[in-house]
Amino acid sequence: MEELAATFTLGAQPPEERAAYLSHLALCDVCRQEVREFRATADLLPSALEEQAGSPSLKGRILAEAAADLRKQDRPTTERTPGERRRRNWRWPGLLSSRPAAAMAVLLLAVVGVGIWNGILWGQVNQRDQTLARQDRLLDAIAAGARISRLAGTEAAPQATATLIQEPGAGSAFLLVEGLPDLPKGREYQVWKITGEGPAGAGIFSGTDSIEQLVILTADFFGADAIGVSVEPKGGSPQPTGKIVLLGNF
Amino acid sequence: MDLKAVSDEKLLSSFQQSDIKALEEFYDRHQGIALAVAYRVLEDRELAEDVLQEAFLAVWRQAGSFNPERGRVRAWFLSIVRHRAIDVTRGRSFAKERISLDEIPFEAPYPDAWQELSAKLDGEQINGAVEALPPVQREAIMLAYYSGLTHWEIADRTGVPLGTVKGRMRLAMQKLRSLLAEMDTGGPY
Repeated sequence: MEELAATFTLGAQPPEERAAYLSHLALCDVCRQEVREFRATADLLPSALEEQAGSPSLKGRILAEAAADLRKQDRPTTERTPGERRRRNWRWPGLLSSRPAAAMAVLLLAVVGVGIWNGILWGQVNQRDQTLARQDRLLDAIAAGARISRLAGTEAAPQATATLIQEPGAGSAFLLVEGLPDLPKGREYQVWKITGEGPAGAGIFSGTDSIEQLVILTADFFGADAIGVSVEPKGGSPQPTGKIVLLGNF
Repeated sequence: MDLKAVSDEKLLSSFQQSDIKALEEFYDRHQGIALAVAYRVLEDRELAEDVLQEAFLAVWRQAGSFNPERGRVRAWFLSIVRHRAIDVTRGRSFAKERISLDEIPFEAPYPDAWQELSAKLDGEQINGAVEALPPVQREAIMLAYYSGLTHWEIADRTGVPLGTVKGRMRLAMQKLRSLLAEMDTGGPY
């Protein structure tokens, strides 16, 4: 694991490996310290580059768009500046003029096709970005001194393990889950915060693949006696009704 | 008020008060290095400026996303620029109209001593340290940092085993840290 601090810091781990490494970081002070030191070092890398001057119009375009935000009060974000529109149109000279109708139709179909493909691609990219963002939030919480607790699989899921990372004062927690079995159709995993007054639902998750391993819970587990995860009907239950698959005591 | 004397953190606070002058000062302060980062990734001047435009406006619109406990503004902003530029190289070119700062990895807080040390180093010293790395180690970290390649992709591109790539990256980061520390203190940090 030691050699992974650098690949993690430089963003060179694929998402599934990154999730696994985060599980390790949650429990390893030495690697956490090395990651912090490497991050501080990596942040200096841009300073090795020679600064470059932007084109004379760049600053004006940015300030004009920022000013346009203010005029609109609610700061809508999708409209581009006239200058940017001009530059983008310039990149496609002639495409929107004097083409035969048939060519335009083919072009339109192609644009629609690319748009659909782009939407699919962006969905995948966005999922990856969200995963990375969640993982980095977790690292941030760990660095800030989060409380870390382990959960063990029950007889219903002996291979399962999980780590709960609680951000002090954040009112939220991270659950890193590994080895849970596939869910039956129409079922989800439900997390329970267990106190002297009984269990209270603390979040629901479904997948067990690498993307879903890191679950963010909007519950504060400080003051709880234990945490459990059970299999429940989709949407969750007011009280546990299915098999308990993970349990941990505080 | 002379904005040149105002900290980056204060400038960000002013963004939330809709202070365009603060944005102008922030631009003047960081555009040079930000453009260098975007160009280093993209090797295309026009695309690099497009990325900068997106990044500055994202920060203007979402300055409240910055948490000072997580690091310095400059590192945070350059991280936004670099990640967005890498996205563009990987075919995610302008697929959405704005950057969501929630998707930018956070920076863990630095060790205090290192933060003080890094503030004293200039670009020439840092470049000297980078250039002092063995070429294969330097190549490994640059492919990850500026090209956004995974260690698997770096191994594939350079034709060396994965374990070697991981080892080179770790050695490079350790050596770089050590070299930078020595420049300031005259000895190991």
